[in-house]
Parts: sequence; C-alpha cells; structure tokens
Amino acid sequence: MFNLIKARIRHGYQAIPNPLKTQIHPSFPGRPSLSGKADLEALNRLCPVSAFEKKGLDLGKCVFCGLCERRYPDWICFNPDFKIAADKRENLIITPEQATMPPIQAIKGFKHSFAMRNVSAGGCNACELELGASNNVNFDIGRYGIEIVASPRHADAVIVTGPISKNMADALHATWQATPQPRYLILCGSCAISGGVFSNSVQLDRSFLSHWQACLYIPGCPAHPLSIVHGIHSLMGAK
Amino acid sequence: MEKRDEMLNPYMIQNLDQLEFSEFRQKLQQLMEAGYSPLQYFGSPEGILYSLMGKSDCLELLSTAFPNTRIYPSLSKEYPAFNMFERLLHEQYNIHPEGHPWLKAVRSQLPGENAHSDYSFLSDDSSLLHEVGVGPVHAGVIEPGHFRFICRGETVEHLEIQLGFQHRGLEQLMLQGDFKEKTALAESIAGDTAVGHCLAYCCLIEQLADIQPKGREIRIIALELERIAMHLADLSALAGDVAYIMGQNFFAAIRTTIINSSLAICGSRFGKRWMTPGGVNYAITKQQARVLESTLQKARTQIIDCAEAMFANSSVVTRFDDTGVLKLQDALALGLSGITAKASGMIVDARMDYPCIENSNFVALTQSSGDVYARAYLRYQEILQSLQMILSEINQIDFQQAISTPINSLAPNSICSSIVEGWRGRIVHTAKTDAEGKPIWYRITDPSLINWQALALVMRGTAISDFPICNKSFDLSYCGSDL
Amino acid sequence: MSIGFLILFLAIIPALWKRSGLFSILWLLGSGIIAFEYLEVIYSRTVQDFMISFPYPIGTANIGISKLSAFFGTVFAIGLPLGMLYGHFYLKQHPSEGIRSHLFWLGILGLSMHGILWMKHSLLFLMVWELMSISSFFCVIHDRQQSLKAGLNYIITMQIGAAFLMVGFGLMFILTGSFDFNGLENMPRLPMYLLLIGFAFKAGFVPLASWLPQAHPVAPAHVSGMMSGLMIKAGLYGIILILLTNAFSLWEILVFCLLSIISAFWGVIHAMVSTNIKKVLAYSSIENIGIIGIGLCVGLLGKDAGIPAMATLGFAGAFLHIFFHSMFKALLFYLSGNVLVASHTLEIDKLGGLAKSMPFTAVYFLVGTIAISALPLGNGFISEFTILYGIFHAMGANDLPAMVFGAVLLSVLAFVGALALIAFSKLFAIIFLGEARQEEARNAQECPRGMRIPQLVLGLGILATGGIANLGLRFVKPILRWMALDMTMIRDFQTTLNQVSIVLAIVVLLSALLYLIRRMCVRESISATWGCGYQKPNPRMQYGSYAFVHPLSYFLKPFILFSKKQKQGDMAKGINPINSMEAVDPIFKYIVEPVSKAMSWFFELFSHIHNGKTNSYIAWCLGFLILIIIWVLGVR
Repeated sequence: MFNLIKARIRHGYQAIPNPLKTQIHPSFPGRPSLSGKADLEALNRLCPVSAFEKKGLDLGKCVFCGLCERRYPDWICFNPDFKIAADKRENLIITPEQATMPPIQAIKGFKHSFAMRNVSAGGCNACELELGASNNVNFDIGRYGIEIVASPRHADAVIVTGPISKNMADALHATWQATPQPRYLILCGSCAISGGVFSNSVQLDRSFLSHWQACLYIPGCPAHPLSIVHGIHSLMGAK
Repeated sequence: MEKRDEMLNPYMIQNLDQLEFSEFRQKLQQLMEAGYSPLQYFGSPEGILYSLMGKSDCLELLSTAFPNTRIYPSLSKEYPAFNMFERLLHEQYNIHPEGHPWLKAVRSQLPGENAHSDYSFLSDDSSLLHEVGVGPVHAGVIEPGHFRFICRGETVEHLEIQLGFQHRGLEQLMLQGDFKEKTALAESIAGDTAVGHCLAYCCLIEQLADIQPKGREIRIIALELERIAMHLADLSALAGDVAYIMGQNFFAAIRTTIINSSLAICGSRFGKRWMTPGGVNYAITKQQARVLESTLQKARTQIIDCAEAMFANSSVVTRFDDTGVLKLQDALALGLSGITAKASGMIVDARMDYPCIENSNFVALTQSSGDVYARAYLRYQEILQSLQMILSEINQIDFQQAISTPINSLAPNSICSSIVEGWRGRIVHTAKTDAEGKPIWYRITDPSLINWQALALVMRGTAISDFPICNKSFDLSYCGSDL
Repeated sequence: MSIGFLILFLAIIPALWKRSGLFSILWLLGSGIIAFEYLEVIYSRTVQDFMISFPYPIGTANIGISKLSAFFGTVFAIGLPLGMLYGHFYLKQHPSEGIRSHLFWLGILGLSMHGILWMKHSLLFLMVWELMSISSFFCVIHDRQQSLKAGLNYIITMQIGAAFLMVGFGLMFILTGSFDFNGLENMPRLPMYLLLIGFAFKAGFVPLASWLPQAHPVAPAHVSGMMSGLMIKAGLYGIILILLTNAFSLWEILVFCLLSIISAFWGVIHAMVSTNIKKVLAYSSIENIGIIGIGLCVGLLGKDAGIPAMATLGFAGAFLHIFFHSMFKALLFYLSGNVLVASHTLEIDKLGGLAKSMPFTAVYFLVGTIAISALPLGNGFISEFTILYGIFHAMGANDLPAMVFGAVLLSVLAFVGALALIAFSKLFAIIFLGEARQEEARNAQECPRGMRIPQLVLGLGILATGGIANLGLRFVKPILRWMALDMTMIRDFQTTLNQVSIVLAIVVLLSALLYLIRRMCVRESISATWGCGYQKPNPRMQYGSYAFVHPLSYFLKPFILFSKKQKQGDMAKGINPINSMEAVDPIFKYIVEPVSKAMSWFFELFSHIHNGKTNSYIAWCLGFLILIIIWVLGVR
C-alpha cells in the first residue's frame, strides 16, 4: 500500500485545469489558415482525400496529413487551434483568409448534462481511442456532465465514429431507433463526416446520413479530445 | 541515391517459379515440418495461390495456380495455422478446402449467402445451455464485433466471434491512385497501429524503389513509442476491468505524456503523418530529443512505481492469475504472434526473426504461464524494454542528417513482402507490381487476423464474467482483421 | 349444516351425468352454507356434537366438530368450491374420457375431506380417511396414460401411511378400550409415534414425501391444487390433534423441529432445480409444510420453555400459514393449468415470453410468487412474520434451549425464504419474461374467462389478507383462545400488524400515484428491445432455467442427486457432452424402488403357480387343505 501512496504522490496532478482555454502544443495541426494566393486546384491534386474541391479547405474531409503544409508552406498552415467543431456541414469549409470558425449554436435543455452513445461504424479505432481518452484523468469530460453511456436508451445523442461500413449500417440504424427522443446525431472524425480516406470504397453505406441530420461535426483524424470537449461543450451551451 | 543494405526483410522476388499443386503442397508440408509457419497464404485475382513461409532468419515464398476443380484437401486439419487463411481463401475466391474443420465467413459472407448477417453460429439445443450474444454495438467505446457464447450456467462452453463489421475494402483502396502516396490509407488500416502499418508500407515501397531510407533512429523511436503507448492503454484498461482504479488512471495519464511526445514531434498523438516512403516527415531536433529523454525518464519511474504496486495487489492478481490460459502447444499450432504468443512461452518477434530496421542485439521477452497475468506482466516488461531502446536510439541520432529520400520509380513485375513487429504482433504486407510498377494486388495481414482464434480458445471453461479481462488482455484489432 | 352437506351429496347426481357446471354450482352453494356454519362454530361458544349409534363393531360414535376442525373446515370450504369451479372450466379445455367417474370421485373427495373433520371415532375416521385416499387416487389418474405409475406409487404410499394409522389406533383401542378420540389424550409413546408417522405420510414431511413430486405433476391442475392446498392439510390436522392432546419432552420437539427443517430445506432446493412447473410447486408444498412444522415447533417450544408469547405466535403463524398456503398454492397450481392449456407443456425450458400473450396469468402468477416468497403485500409474509415474531420473543427470554432453537430456526426460515424467492423468480422469469423458446410457447393464448374466475378470487383474497394484515389473525384468534394460550400480547402484535398494513398502503398508494403522474406526463413509445444492434437474434440468446441457479449449484451439490444424460460430445468445438441434468429423488431411488423391486422379485418366485392349468390349482388347494388339517388336528 505504501508503494501505491508513493506512486500517487509522485504522479502529481494530471488534470488539465480548463480544457476549453488550455494551450495545445504548437505542432498540433488544428484550424488551417489558407492564404488568398493559394492555388486550390494544385492543392486538390496533391490532397489524398481531395479536400480542396469546394471554395476552400473542407475540414470534414481533411485528414490533417500535413502533405499540403509541407509542400506549400506559403499557401497553407495549420494553427494549433483545436476549436474546429461546427454545427453545420457548410461551416467546416475554411475559405481563404478565414481567421475564425463560426460559432456553434447551442441546443436547448442540455446545459448541465449530456449523455452520448458511441457507435463505432467501421473506423480505424483512433477516434474511438480519442473519445475514450476524453474520459480520462487529463481531459475529464465528466466534469461538464458529459458522459458516454452503455445503452442507447440512456443517451441524448449518438456519436458516430468511422465511415459507416455496409456491415455496420443496420446496427447504426438500430441504435438510432433505440435512442429515445429528443435525440441528436454527432459525427466525430473525418471518416464519419465525409468518409475520410475510405470515401471511395464500395464497402461503405452512408445512406443513414441522408435520412438524418447531424447537429455537430468534429473534424480530425483522429479528432483530438480537446476538440471533442470543446465541440460538445459548445453544443450544450454552458458558459 | 544510396544503395540498399542487404536485408532479409523486406523480401523481394521477381520471376517467382510457379509450382505444380502437388509439389506446392509437398513443399509446404516440408517447410511446416522444418519449423516454418505461414506468415501469409492467400489467393490473388490472377488465379495464383501464394504462401509466404517464415522461420527465424528464413523467408520463402511459394506459389501455385488455383486447382482446376477449385477443391483441394485442406491443410488446416494437420496444420491449424492455415485455418484462418483457408477460410479467407474460400470467402474471397470460392476455393473449397475439403476437410476444413470449420469453414466460416471472415469479413463478409460465404459464397452462396446473401448478407454478412447470415452467419450461422454453432448451436446446441440442450436445456442446460443458453446463448449470450453481445455486439456489434458494445457497451464501451470499442470497435464492433459480435461474440456468441454458449454457456452452461456461468461457464462458457464455446465462444464464436463474428467479425467483418468494419470491412472497408482497404486492399482495394490501396490499388487506387498513386501507389507511392498511400501513407494516409496505410495509417488507417488500424489507427492504433498507424506507425506499424505505415512502416510496413513504406519499407515495401522502398524495397520496390531500391533505395535506402533515412531516419532509421526516428523510425525505431516512433515504432517503440507506439508500442509503449498502446501497452499502457492495455494496462489501464485491464486495471479498470478489475476495479483497480488507481492503475486505470495512472496508466492513462502516463500514456497521455507519451503520446503527447509523439504530438510534439509529428503533430499526431498516434504517430500518423510521421512515416513516409524514403524516411520520415518530421525530424527530432536536439531540443526535442532532450525533452523526449526527460519525459521518458520521468514516465519510466512512474510506470515502475505503478506497475509494481498493481502486480503486488492481491485483488488484481486473483483476477488475473490462471484466467484465460493459452497453452504453448495451442499457440504454436495456430501460428500466433505478438504478446498473445510470447506470454505462453513462444519465442517469436519480427524484430528478432526478420528485422526491417537493423538492430542486432534485440532479444524477445516471454512469459510462460499464458494467463492474463502473464500477458499483463509481459506488457509491462516490454514497455521497459522499449523505453530502453528509445533512450539508446536517441543518443545515436545524427541531427544534421536529412530525414528522407525521394522515391522515383518502382520495380516492375515484382512481388515484395515487408514484415514489421507492431505492438500486437507480426504485420505482413505483400504486393505485386505490374510492368509499369503499378500494384496488381496488395495483401495486408494484421496479427489480429490469426490471434482472434486464441480468444475463442481460452474462453472455453472460463466464467463468462472473466471475458472482459481475457478480451482486453489480448486487445486485438477488429479493424485490422476486417480491413 | 345438514342443508349444506345435503347439497354437497346431491352434487354427485349431476356429476354422474357429466354436468360439471351444475356440479360446481352446487358445490359453491353447499360450501358457502357450510363455511358460514363453521365460522359460527369458531366465533361462538356452541359446539356441534352428536352421538350416533352404529352397528357392531363401531358402537356409539361421537361425530362433531371442535374449533380446530371448524378452522380446517373453513379452509376446505373456501378452497374446494374454487377448485371444483376451476376443474369445470379446465376439463372443458381438456376433454377426455372418464369425466363421469372423475367428477364422481371429486365429489367423494370433497365430502370425505369434510368428513374427516367430523369423525371423532377412530374406526369411522379411518374409513373416511381411506375413502379420501382412494378418491384422490382416482382423481389423480384422470389422464390415464402418463399418470398410472405415479398414481399407483401415490396410493401405495397412502396405504402404508394408513397402515401406520391403523396400528396406532388399534393400539389405542387395546390400551384404552374405546375407539373414541378421547383416548388420544396422554397416549403412550408407541401408538402416538405411529399415528404421527401415519399423518406425516399424508402431510408430506421428508422422508415420507416422495409421492408428492410424482403425483402432482401428472394430476390435472385442479386436482393438484386441491391436493396440495387442502388434502395435505388433512394430514396436518391429524398431527395438530395429537400435538394438542399430549405433552412433549424437549427431545421430541427437537426431532420434530429437525424433520421440519429438513423438509423445508429439502423442498426448496429441489424446487430450485426442477424444470417442470408442477414439480416446482409440489416441492414447494413440501417446503411450506416444513415451515408450518417450524411454526408448530415454535409454539411447542414456547409452551415448554414457558414463554407464552412465543407459544401463541408460533401456533398463530402455523395456522395462518395453513390457511394462506392453501390459497396461494391453489392459485399457482390453477395458473399452471392455464399455462398447460395454452402451450401444452409444463417444461419451463420450452416456454418464455408468455407475459405478452397471457397478461392475466402473468399478473396473478406474480401475485402468487409474492405470496409464496413471503414478500410484503403477499399473505405469506404475514404468516412467516408471525412465526418470526414468536422466535424474537424467544431470543429475549432467559431460557437457553429456546434461545438456541430460536437462533437456528430464525436462520433456517430466512435462508429457506431466500431460496424460495430464487426458485419462484426463476419460475416466473423463465416462463413469462423474455421470449418464447419453442413453438408451443409462441402460439400461446390467454385462457377463457371461466378459468380466470377462481384465480381472480384467490388472487384478490391473497392481496386482501396480505394487505389488511389483521384479517387472518381475526380468524385464528378464537382457535388460539380455545387452545388455552396466553392472549395478552396479541393486542400489541395486532398493532404491529396494523402498522405493517399502513406502511404497505402508503407504499402502494404512492406507487400508484407516481405511476399515474408518469402516465400523464410522459409520452411513451414502444420499440424493439435493445440487442446491441445485432440483426438476427434467436430465442436461445436468453437465460435458461439452469443458468439461473447455476451459481448456487456449487453449494447445492452435496444435497441434490442428479442424473446426467450424456450425448456425443463435440469437444473440438468445446461443448461439454452432458445433454441434460435432472434432479432425482434419492429416497425414491435408493429406498422405495429397491424395496418394491425386491418385493416384486420375491413374489415373482411364486409366479409359476399361475400356470393356467386347473389341475395344478386344484393340487395347490388340496395341499393347503391337508396342511391346515394337519396343523389344526396335530399341532393344536
């Protein structure tokens, strides 16, 4: 037991005091700054997921591989800003010279607690690990009343990670149907938002998303726990 | 451009002799008797059956055409190591291995069935038995899979695992686009083994391009950092499952410091975007090396403190000890790799058997009891070993050296295999190029594909309440097996 | 009184014409009248006593009822008509031959049950007792194919019991010179023990209860209900009669205590592992007889140790349990009849999900489960609470044997109660909850209204006597007073029971209120049970009856004998080759069966006498005559 006490004392205080206002390491690729001079077509040809098709960089498709930043550092750079979640799909498109992300509209009634049921719909497990990590002693989303529950019956929202493979489509649908109203859909990670690196695969079945509208999109590959915390916290509307 | 050092792994061959089927089978049997095990055994769209056989310091690739009748006597009866491969062969190419003990679908459905959900589980109508089915949507934040237990009371008599829920068609996606620019896809084979799979892909490309990659030390550091991070995640999860909350929180917090070290260097906590064919994308500067060193030294003391406390705790040991025992002969027969095999006493590690990065004095660690305790303790030992490796590699980094070389063209008409020891076990990537250097097929074998059989085996006779710790003690990849 | 009995006699006439409806109505009418008369006897000071002359050898027989008989009579008068009514509707669902004789014997059974209570002359008593056994045998073997073996086992066991009674009463006659029941007072030990054993056969104390779990499953539901609920109590009537008229030493009470504890324990653990509904209920009857025995022991101990509260409450609890057990056991048996009619099987591993298709049966089964597990709101709680309260008084007193006994009985009652709860939760859960395991259960439908009427009455009666806690006690108090027990603390006890009632009422009202509020405020939507998103679930993916009790089987192994059936194992796939495991009655297997086999073997040695040849028969007769003549002339 004394070993344990010694270990605990040496362990110290690990929690991040305020995850919403903390500074992340400068290497973290967060919100990009796209220069006005950038040639979007050249960038699009380079990009493994063709994220520059629309008028800017689509964060919903971006896998943050850094290829564009390394090849054309004058045109694009990724800032260590993890607040990249959005409540509308259009808001994820970063146009040239855009300096901030549009604010997230909160949903009513969830100021102090929010229960989520995760459906891992065919991803690579990185987003699941990050979602699980947001529960740990460092990020501790529990302090905001956000919890991940075991049954969809207890959930307010279904948070989807992964590109929704064919074999998981029915299970996702069943989970959604089992969640009582009012229910919300959150898409976490670029695979969930747009299919990510798998978007060309014939083994996906993303028809679920054509029926149901998501209320929060958290980009990233994988989505960083701080992005997840920030995104859901803004959705809850607490101060 | 530097010429490549001569190494066994990656293994490249052009103009492979295609054997007669009987000769192929005889050769396979000879190799199996000589102690080889099948690293890969698969069919290809050209109608050729390949088998990559490996033993410590030896690799051999055999090939033959598909039998005309598409039926052949199964190898799995004598050599269970071929079991999963033959099932995959049947599913993908409708080749029937006669006498296979149990031909079931692996990732989608068997030829002749309609849907993935048509999988028929073993059933018994005795009134003493009942079934328990969990998944695909599991209670925690983990990947999907369906586990069907046949239980007699609280004891599991039989476990059957249906995977394939995460089948994304990776092997097809690898063939699309520029073959040299597939790092983002390779990293997403299994996101928690991003460095492992990406390294296998990069080594394969480098071998095909015949160039010597740069950043050797950085690659070793990245691979070992990933190993340490995921072993810590496993220890944390195991501690959580036996209600040793101190362990759960400590290990998770220490893991954060480790993966934040990855983040500091390459921008990703999982080591994504770090490797590239030809070298690495992000260097470690002198400053970063110093920070990394001190972080790891601090982590090392904390890990030793916490692990010693956990493994001395009697409630933890009671749960772990003698639970989910995997016998050595079963591990050998199935051809397992990684912690799953090493904890039962099997001496197998690709860093020792076929190193892809030169490291002459690596010795694989093993345990002998094969239970959950052995797997947990071995993880702790491997963490310390990896920490030692990183600390010695940091001292050898040449900070002035370039970190990557460009790749130009890939060798045509070649078959190339690369093998990397990921943190779960042996990763094998094999590809064949056509006359223009474009890939014809790309086969990925994650260690989980084979290791899942071990979980089904150890659960027999165990109480169903021990399933979570058995499952977490193996911590196998659902997506790596599903591709 | 005579009017009532006349009506019951007349009921035999429609029985002979297969008019079961009229039969039941006459029984209802007659029993109603009789019940009122019995109650009058209990509450008033009048005693009905007749002396009737019978020809030799009976002589002048005393026929009448005491308060004790009146108590049992009321229990019978409430239970029997409900059983007959249920039988009428049940037999309509199960048409078969022999209804005429079945109804006839049912009528005789009912009459003989009442008759026992009136006979105070041992010969007449024995005659009516035998009539009761024989008529119940004929009722049991109604479904002739399956039930013959169990029925024969039953009647033979009853005859053995009757033999004990005959010897006992015979000894009593020799010692006192009269057949009158007055001779039961202060009897010498041997005839008393013989009589007790004889009655114990009928009551169902272990080790004499092997017939119970065999006879009940094969008998039709209404017969099982009446036998378990009422006929067993006839055995208890005899035992109590002897207990009241004799004094016992501490050792004898100890033996009785031990037998009761063993019965309770034995019954409940076999109930836990059985998979046939009626077998579970039969073993549970053995358990409840054990509990009643424990109550009687508490009473006797109180008398012996001089703790009046313990004595009164012990006997009060025993009587209450006799009354309440007849209600909830009958209810459960009738409900099992519902299940049988709806799904054609009594094996619980074939059932499942019946709560959706048979909601009435499910709700009343729940009421029965609550009662039998001694949970509050059920009347089993009141009777066991009374017994426990009696034991508490023992713990406070200074008498060492009483304290030790009290502690042991307390733990046994608690343990047995917990195991009963497990057994019945398992029964309820596997039959009604979850999903239908096999075809029969999938097509089940709720039973016609007629079958539900007696169940409704019993269910409401259970809730009434469970909720209004003093209801049963008011019925039992005159008996206690008649037994010359101290009634001073009854008032305090009744106050306690009032408090229990008030608390229960508050809880029920609050729950109902909350439920209604929730109904009004929350809109409900119904969707499929959450199954982890799996698309092809099957009915095997739910708990089975074995799984329910498996964790306990570790402790039960030394107490239960299992017979295991092996099959071809599939060790490659890991399935253990034991296909089924059934609990076997060791007393039957190791004592009764070998003895009967030995007897058959012995008699078969003489079988060659039956060779069909008239010559040899004449030769045997001749031989016998010669021997007799030699013996009479020569030896004498």
